[in-house]
Amino acid sequence: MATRTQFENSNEVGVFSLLTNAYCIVAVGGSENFYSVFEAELGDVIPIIHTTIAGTRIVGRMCVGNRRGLLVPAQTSDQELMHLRNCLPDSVRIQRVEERLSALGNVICCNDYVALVHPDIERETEELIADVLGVEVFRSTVSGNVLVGSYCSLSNQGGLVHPQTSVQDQEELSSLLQVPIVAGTVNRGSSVVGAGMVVNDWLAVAGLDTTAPELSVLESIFRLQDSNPEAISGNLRDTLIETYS
Amino acid sequence: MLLYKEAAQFIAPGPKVGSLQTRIFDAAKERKIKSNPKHIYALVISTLKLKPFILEIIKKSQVLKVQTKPKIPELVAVLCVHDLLFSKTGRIQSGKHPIKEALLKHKTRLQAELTKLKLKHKVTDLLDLVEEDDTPVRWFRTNLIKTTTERILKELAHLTQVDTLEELDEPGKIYHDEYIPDLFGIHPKEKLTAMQIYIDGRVIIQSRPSCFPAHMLNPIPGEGMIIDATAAPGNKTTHLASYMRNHPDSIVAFERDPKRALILRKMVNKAGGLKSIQVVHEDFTKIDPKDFPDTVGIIVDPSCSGSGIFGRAFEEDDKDKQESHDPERLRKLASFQCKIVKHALMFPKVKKVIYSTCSIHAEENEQVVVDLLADEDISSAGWRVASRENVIPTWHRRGWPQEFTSLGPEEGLRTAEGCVRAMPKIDGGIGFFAVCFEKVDIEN
Repeated sequence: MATRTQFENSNEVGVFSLLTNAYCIVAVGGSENFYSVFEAELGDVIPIIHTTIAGTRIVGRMCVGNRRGLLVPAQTSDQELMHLRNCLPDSVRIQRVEERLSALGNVICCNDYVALVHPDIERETEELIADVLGVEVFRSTVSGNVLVGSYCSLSNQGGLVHPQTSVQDQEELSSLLQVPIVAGTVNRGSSVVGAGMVVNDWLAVAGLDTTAPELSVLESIFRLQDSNPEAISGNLRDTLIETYS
Repeated sequence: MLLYKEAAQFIAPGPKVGSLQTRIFDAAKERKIKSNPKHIYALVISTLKLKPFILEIIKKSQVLKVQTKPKIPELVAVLCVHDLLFSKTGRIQSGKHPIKEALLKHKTRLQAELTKLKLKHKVTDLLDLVEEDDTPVRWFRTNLIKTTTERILKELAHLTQVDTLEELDEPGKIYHDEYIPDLFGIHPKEKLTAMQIYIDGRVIIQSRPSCFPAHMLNPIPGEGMIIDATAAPGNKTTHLASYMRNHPDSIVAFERDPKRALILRKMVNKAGGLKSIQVVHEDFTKIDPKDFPDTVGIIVDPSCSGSGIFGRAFEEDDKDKQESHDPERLRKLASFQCKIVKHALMFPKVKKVIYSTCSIHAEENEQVVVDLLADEDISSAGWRVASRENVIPTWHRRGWPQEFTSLGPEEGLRTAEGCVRAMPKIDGGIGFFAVCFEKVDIEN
């Protein structure tokens, strides 16, 4: 299922929220519209947490996580940490990271199995990511951009990357991540796909400006629809199998 | 960490003496290393196989550049990374140690570089890229001194008999050789060394080609003495004893190297051949033929370049490989080979001399034969190369006729056909050369 929404007139859904298979974090806003969209889709399935991170509303850019854990920057206050700890499921580990590149959401992009990270991230952070999130960590860029978290959107089913990523880079990324990858846009031509949307294994939420074709690409690469989900991913999987055979 | 520090010396490049196995076990005997030598050997052999990949991983991950305190020696890092990424447990086998702690800080990065390397080569296991350098068939023969082939076959009744070598593609099968009696081939993965028949010396592991000399000599018990001129480690000698039905004092085995003479004694004892084999620690070329007047047959298997031997590919640097083709070294070896065979041919009553090498170079094989035949003393004594019908006639690979053109077309071809050659791996064993000299009566 893919839906559109807006956070206080902004299309950048990924900036104000973080969605994983085990929990969802949304920013504290003036109205509850944004929160309601998530509540309508997720209901009681996973906890939806209202919080700020380091006093800001850009929660999606500040932290990163998957079903096993959540990493928050060093600036996160003790109260915020306590609130998160109380709301998150017990199985989810939460860890504060001392990293110079503190907007973790911009420099890290992960699903439940792999993470792409900014090439200049510190080695200690790399170990923490592997440890807390239980993933393999690869230093990488997305079409020349070091902010992999901003330009890549990833779930366990597939990934959407910057529209100008070359075919060769897409193939490399998809073999590294072991999921099909497609280059595309959200929010009527925006290339910051990581910040423009959030996705987990059964739900994608993009900005209100997202066009129908963009949405259909999302639905097929992230396998969010029931009927005919193979249109894009099917072809991609064939090339994947070819590379591995 | 001691394990890695001690193992590091064995993966260091540079000149080496002896095989990896002897170097490690000798060092253990001389108390130069404290760790279990078996443990070190397993670690080193596996690391050497994967060394180019490990070096690439270390280089790409820049571990040694970033990690300066404590400074990690490269070879120790290679061994540790091997255990971290490729061993079954995925652990560095060490207690708390600064080097271990330092490397573990980079575990994620190393793991990532390993995955990238696998993707680059499109394999799920890097070992798939390593060329196997193991024997295609494991050969062993019945030790007739201790038992009979029927009894061995009864012990191995769980194995299915196959008719050709090609069918021997998995464990659980056994091939009864068509050229050498009492010789069997099994799959290398078969755990023969754990079986009782191997442990108590009822069967002896010996590659098929190296069984040729004793079979070609085919001595008859009681007819006279046999000499093995260069006996250690003693497989050919005990094979001879099998043919001699352990007839008392029928074989004299010479070995000039004291260490190898000890091994020879041990092997002879294990095979139960002490009754028939007399081990003499002496240089065969210094022996006076008059002291052994009853000798009728001699086997000479002198030191050679070993170019037919495989299974040591990972132990060697490229430099070592070139060395076995070094013409200067080959010339020296050939002159020694000529000398020792000539000495054997000078024993008065000897009827047959078998010359063999585990080399594939003509310089050490056919050319030595040509040189010997051209020698005045040898030809006047009536020596010639035995024809094919007397030396394993069914074996397909023979000597190279182009090396014998100096003997004339007919004799050259006959001589070439009289030689036996084996190619490494293709013929299911080591590379080998063997020829039988026989004495014909001058009057005829």
